[in-house]
Amino acid sequence: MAIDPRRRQWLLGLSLAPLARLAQAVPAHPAAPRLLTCWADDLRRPRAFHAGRLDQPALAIALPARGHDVFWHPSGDGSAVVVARRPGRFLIRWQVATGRILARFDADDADQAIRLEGHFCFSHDGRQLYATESESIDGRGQVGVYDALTLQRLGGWSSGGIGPHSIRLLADGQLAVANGGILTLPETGRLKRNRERMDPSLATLDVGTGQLLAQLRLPDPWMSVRHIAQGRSGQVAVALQNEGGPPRPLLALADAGALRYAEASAPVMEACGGYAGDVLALPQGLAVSCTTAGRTALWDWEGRFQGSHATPRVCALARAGTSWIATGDEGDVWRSRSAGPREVPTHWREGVALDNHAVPA
Amino acid sequence: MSVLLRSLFGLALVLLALPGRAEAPAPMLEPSAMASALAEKVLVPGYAALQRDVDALAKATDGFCGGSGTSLDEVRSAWRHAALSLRRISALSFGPALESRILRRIDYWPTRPSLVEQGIERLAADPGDTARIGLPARGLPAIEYLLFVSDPPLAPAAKSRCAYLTWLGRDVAEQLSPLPEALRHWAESMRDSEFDGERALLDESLNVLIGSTEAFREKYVEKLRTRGIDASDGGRSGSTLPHLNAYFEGLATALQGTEGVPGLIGFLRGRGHLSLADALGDQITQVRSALGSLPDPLDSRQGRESLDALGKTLAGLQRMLTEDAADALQVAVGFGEGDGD
Repeated sequence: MAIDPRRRQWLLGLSLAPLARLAQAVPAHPAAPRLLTCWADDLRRPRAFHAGRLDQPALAIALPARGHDVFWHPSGDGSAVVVARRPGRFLIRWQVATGRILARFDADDADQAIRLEGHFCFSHDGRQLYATESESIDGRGQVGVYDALTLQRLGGWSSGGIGPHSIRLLADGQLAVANGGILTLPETGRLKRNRERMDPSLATLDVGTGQLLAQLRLPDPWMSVRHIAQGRSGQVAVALQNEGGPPRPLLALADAGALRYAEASAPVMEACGGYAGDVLALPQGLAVSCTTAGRTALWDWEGRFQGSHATPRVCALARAGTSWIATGDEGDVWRSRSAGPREVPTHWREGVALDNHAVPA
Repeated sequence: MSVLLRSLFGLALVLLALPGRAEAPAPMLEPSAMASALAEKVLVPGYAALQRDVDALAKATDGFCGGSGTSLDEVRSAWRHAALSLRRISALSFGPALESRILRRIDYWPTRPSLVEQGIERLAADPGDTARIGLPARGLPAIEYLLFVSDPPLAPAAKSRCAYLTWLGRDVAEQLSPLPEALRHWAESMRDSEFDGERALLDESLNVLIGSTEAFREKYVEKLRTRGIDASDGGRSGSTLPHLNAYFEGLATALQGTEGVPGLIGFLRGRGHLSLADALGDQITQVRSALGSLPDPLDSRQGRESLDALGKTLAGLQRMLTEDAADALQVAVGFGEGDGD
């Protein structure tokens, strides 16, 4: 569910139903791509939140609040992990085929005052999980280190900034963290408290020690670094959110120790709007979901704009072979077969409000 | 019956059928008027009372551990007073209370016994190095753990524990000391004719009230329902019920107002949202009723059912603030157009 004006869904996780209660079945479109994702029953006034396979809604788990990042567990045991949307409290690991809860973590049980920031990744050996967090006293960004099976929190490192958002384990073994640079506090939810003093960056950390290795910045502090993708040959790109400054491209590439914007003419920037909800690495380039503008934009790996597709309220992006699948918060699902800018993606409509991230099921 | 009479009769029926209990409008206020009244009439005296109670607690711990005749029961009583004063303002994290993070610095909860024990050892090893004792090992909940859990009961002869208790009491008092004055300044700044932060103040105020309602529901009520009295706020000292009531009454004061304080409901009335103001008042009454129905002791099937009912009324209150009040006042509490995840 990508956009819901003037709502704070984390405040709407009002169901007191048992966590493991199975979701009420919502028929999925039989021909639609199979996805593991999160969804809610209603876009405007959601009352029930779920995570699971979109094609098997009866087996989905009910979440205590809106979920966000979700991945299959690297052990290959059929379990998956979901984290709460920011600022959130829970991590849950469950058996997807049965809906059985295997492990859970509540941020209130940590030995430190933290809130989860909605994103995580696994270590290469699959034994550890790294989640972005913010310290609740002063908002410092952290990377929480967890046992990937039990979800026990083992410790935490500085993320190198504030408002850490997505996190990704890079091919060379380093951790990349998108420090969005936006300060929020638990008492005021998602209210932004430092828009005049933002310091977004892409930080890389040593995965063994958490030591800050590098920190890449754009020249414009109002461009919040939100999501990370890496291509097969190691190129790293970030999707951006404009926090009220002049228009800028919503994609930047890590290049020679710096971040540089991808190419975008003024009409392209206008067409893409101010907020990218996700970025996906493809063999031939990058797909970026321009959520507020309702377009899926494509760039090549050199940063040259290739074109875009009309995908209203798009957010989640997932791989489908060499191409992409996208979803939107009104239940839309699109699949592109060739990933070409001129191809019209196939479209389905599900009966639920789909959340921001998804992976193939 | 003429057409006119039939029409008037019909109109009368329609008017009678409307949910028209809405009370009269109130004077239109700026957010600064609402917030400054709350600061002057509730926050400044509330923090002053807390400061007095914490000072008394620190004095009691000094007396107890220094062997000057203060009994453990007297220290425990001083803690109960201070903790209750804290709960009365816990929901009101406005202005300097929010910026200073005071409520998190002196109220780290759920308590982490293992970290408190580590703190005791650390202070004993190096009394001058308190900077390395983290917030989870400090504050009033940590003091509750020392006063009410120790077996055998805490005694002045337990030098390390007593030294830590004394340091904790002084630490809380020290952290609190700037707050009453800072709150007074904050209230004055909002009365300045050149105050230009009305929109931001309204955004922040409603977000705080929503956040406090959620914290009450999730952190205090739901945790108590699912994990039992031992895991509840004030559970170690038998203070759970008074703490729940104190927290909600603080929140309700900001919502409903009190003498000289319009509260959110008065603010809504002043903006013409009369039905919403009434509905909010009704929902607060329901929460209060559910709170009043909690049995003592709470550790029973009836207790869990009552807590479940309380949770539902709080969920209704939260929805009303998050959806209806936020819409009515055009306050962004969520995922706006440029507010990405």
